Order: sequence, then C-alpha cells, then structure tokens
Amino acid sequence: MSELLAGTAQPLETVASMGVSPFRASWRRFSRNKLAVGSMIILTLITLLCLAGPLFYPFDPEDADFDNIAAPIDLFSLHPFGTDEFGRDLLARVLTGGQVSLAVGFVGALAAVFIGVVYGATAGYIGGRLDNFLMRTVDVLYGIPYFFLVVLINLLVGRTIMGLFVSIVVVLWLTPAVIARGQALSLRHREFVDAARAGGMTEWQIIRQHIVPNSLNVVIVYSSLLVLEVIITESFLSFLGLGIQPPASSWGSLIDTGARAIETDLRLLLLPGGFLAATLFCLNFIADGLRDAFDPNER
Amino acid sequence: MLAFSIRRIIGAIPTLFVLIAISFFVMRLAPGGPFSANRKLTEAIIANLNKAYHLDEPVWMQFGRYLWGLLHFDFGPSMKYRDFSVTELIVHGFPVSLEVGFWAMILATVVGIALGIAGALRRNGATDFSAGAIAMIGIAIPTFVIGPLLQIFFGLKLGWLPVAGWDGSLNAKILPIVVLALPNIAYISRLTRGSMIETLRTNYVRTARAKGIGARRVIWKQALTGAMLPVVAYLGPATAITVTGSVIVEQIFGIPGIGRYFVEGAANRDYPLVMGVTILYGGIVILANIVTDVARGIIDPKVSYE
Repeated sequence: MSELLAGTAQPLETVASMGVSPFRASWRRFSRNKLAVGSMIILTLITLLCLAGPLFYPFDPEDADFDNIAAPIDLFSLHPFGTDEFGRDLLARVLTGGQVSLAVGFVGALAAVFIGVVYGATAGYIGGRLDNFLMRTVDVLYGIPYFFLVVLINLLVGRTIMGLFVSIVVVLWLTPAVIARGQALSLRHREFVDAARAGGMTEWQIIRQHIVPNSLNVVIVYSSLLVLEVIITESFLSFLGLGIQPPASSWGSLIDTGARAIETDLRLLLLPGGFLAATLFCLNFIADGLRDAFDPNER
Repeated sequence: MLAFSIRRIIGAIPTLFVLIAISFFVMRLAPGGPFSANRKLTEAIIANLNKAYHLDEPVWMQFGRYLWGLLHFDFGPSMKYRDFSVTELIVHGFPVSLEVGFWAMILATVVGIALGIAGALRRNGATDFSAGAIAMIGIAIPTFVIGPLLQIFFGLKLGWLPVAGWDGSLNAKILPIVVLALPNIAYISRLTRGSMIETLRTNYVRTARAKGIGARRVIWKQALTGAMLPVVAYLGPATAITVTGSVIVEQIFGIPGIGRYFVEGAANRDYPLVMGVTILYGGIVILANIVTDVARGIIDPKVSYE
C-alpha cells in the first residue's frame, strides 16, 4: 500500500491517504488525469445522446421522408443533419446505430470479461491437469487470427444483433482468461484462501467468493480496451456487410453506406465515422488513464 | 536452437488442426446451403449436386476427404465460381494480396521505427508530438474510415492518385499500402519510442557513454539493438493485423486479392472458399508467430529455449 503511493503522491497527501483502500487510491490517481476524465465525460455524453436522443427526436430512423430526399445539412431546417438517398433522417440513423454499437461494445466486453475471469480463475486455482488442459485450449485458440474465427462463428449463429454479439464474445474472452489465471495462481496459497479452505468452503465457493473477486481488479484495466476491441470488430463486420443487416444499422454499416457514396455525399461517411472515431479516441484515453492509475509499475 | 524451432513447429500443429476442424464443422453446421440462394431446383438436381460435392456422405468422411485434399494443396471446388477450384482462385489472388501486405509490413516497420526513435531522442519536441498524434490516429481511427477519407483527399480533391482499382501501376498501389500500414506504424512507433527511452537509461548504455563512445554510435549500435527486442516480438501480431486489415483494404480499394474472396465467400456462403482463405491466412499468422519466437531467441539472450 505505502509503496504503491510512494512514487506518485505528493508529500501532503501521503498523510491524508493513510488508510485509503488501493482501489480508492487508484481512483484518485485516475481522477487527476484530465485527459482520461475529459474522455469519460465525452463518452458519457455520446452514450446519453444515443440512448435518449431518439426518444425526443421526431423522426424514425427507418421512415423515409419522400419530400426531403438527400437533404443537405441545414441546422435550421426540418432535418438538421440532412437525410440519406432514401429520405431517412441521418441524425436519427446515426444515433440509433450508436445504440447498437455501444450496446454490443459494453455488454460484449462485460460478457467476455465474465467468461474469461471464471475460466481463468478456475484454471489457476484448481491447477494441475485441469489447468494444463484449459490453458492448452486457450493457447490453441490464441494462435488463430481472431477476425477469421469471428466470421466463421458468425456464419454459424446468424447475422442478427444477438448472433453478432455471440460470435464476438466467443472469441474475445481469451485475454481476460490468461490475466485472471495469472492472478489466481498467485492467490491460491494466500492465507485467506487457506483459511477459507480450513473453514470448510468447497472449492467452487472459494473460486466464486475469493478468487474471482480478487482477480477482477486486475482485469478492469484490460476491460476498457476490450470495449474498444468489441466495438471495432462489430463495425468491421458490419462494414463488410457480414454484421448488422439492413434496415437495422450500426456505425459500421452506416460507414459502409457512406464509403460507397463518397463521390456524391460526404456527410454519409463523416457523421457516423466521426461518432465512431470520437468514441474510440475516448476509450483509448480512458484505457491509458486506467493503466496509469491501477498499474503504476507498468511505465 | 534447431531443437527449439522444431519443438515450436510441432507445437503449432494442434492449432492448425483445430483451425481446420473449426472451419470445417462450422461450415457444415451453418444454416443456408450454397444452393439455397439459387432459383428453385428440383429435388433430383439438388440430390445430384449434393452427390457431386460429396455432401451426401457422413460428415466425418467429408472431413477426412477435405484433410486428404489439403495435404495435396487441394482446397476443393468453389461453389459460387463454378468453373474454378478454390486453389485456382487462391493462386490467382494471393500474389496480389502478398504484394500489398509485404510492402505494408516493410513500410510500417521502417516508418514506425524511424518515428519512434525520433520521438525518443527529442522527447516532447515537435517530432515527438506529431509522431504521437500519428500513432493515436492510427490506433483509434479504424482503417475503414481512414481509407475512404484518403480516397476523397488524394483521389477526388487533389486527383493525384486513383480512387480505387488495380491496374498494376505504382500509383494504384500507394494508397492501399499506406492505409494497410497505418495501424502498424502506430503500434511500432509507440513500442520503439517506449523501449528506446528505457534502453537509453540502462546501465550498459551509460557505461558505453562513460567509456567515451560517441553519442551517435551509442544510439545506433548499443541502444538500438536493445530497443528492437519488443519490436521484433511484435512482428507476429503485426502480421495478424496486416492479414486482417488486408480484407478491409481490398474491399475498399477494389483489389483482386484473396481478402475480397473471403468477404464475398462469407456473404454467398461459398464454404470451401471461406475455409481455404481462413486456413491459408491462419497458417501464415501461425508461421509468423513461430518465426517471431525463433528470431527473439536469436537476438535476445534472455529468452531461454526451455
């Protein structure tokens, strides 16, 4: 604890920080990082805009307005950000597309972290043959370029939002599993685990109540990168026409539409592309901030 | 050393086998056969087609047949391009993909290392800042956004380079190669910068300076060798990124490589074509990882072969 703080805290705060939990100390370091906090605020705003915006916005993303086809950007008109070639409101489409991208990103990362941590914690804690078998499996899957695996599984489970989600999660839990296993290996002979065993807890209870919670804080840093990776993978697939199918949309499929129309109408690329890029920038800065805050020895 | 390489190759065989098995069984279990998209066919014709492609045999026999074919570099017939076998399509498209991918890797390594060193030597200067900005853009903005933007700028606005297409001319190759290299330029320059800064602080570099060896010599001979270790270790993942990126880049720029076959194959449920490309690209990435491991073993005395 004290050695964690020694390098970074200013002298005045060392006194004040006495008795602060490592998590609180890390959080304090994170909140001093202006770039990361700013990114967090912007990301929250984007998320709120995508979630709440369509509720108050008068246009449905799938309804065509035949009076205003391919309307330009005009902030004081009926469609402030214009419409696409079918007369669908561009802003409405980008916002609901964002709901899909963000939901798949966050829920997907959460699911992948959960599967990975349980898998890795079990392997590391039980050890022996089971560990060997489980981690060999991870090694084998690691060798395969994951994009191709995602596409293969996507062919199997279908091109719905759920299918897309499943195929991404099925592939991306590997790294959390490796991280959690390392942590579980170092935890399995700690006193409190021995105490729990002596107290009569079953192996599964120990994994659930001691190993998994204690592995989670190590994985937190990685999970922010995972959100990024899931969002990119989803847009990647949708861009190639292998993900979200029309009339539903995500940022990836909107960018695909935009990229086909660059000669006639740049907005179709720039609006969804801008939202996606802003989100990815924010997630990157947040991940950097989390790494600096939770893992001061990393640098 | 040789034993280590051989052990590493043998260790990769299960990965390759699992890759082949997963692709095979996924393709067989996936809904929507290759002929269902077509106009209505009579049952007799479907039965004949199934027989011709051995789809009426038990799955394990089909798998055995496929494995046996792979050993002869026979990836089976394409189901969409009826007149071609998958092997023919791959032989036709792979040189194009390889050319773009190879030059993208070279460009990424050279530019990435140069930017990284420049940033490390003049920390927080203008070069460092712009290198950092390039790295940030390369990492955060995906290829499929940057690609069309560069098409607009260099193709439409300035008219310097063709927007898309592949006629074998140098001009047509520039944009795809740059776009494909960009993410790796970003990662490599960041890696180089970080490890260069760290290496410049190590004892052996300080000792070399203290002995009176000139700054330039120390940077190029002593520090650079040490700083290159993480970069060499990154070449495996870099290959994976290039291979994946080539699928996007070929789609954007209309390049007739095998990445485009992969996307078309997946959209048309042309199973053998998707499997062929997956196995080929998977094999390349696995091989690149082995080469990377062996190269690290040669350069880095700290890596043991155990």
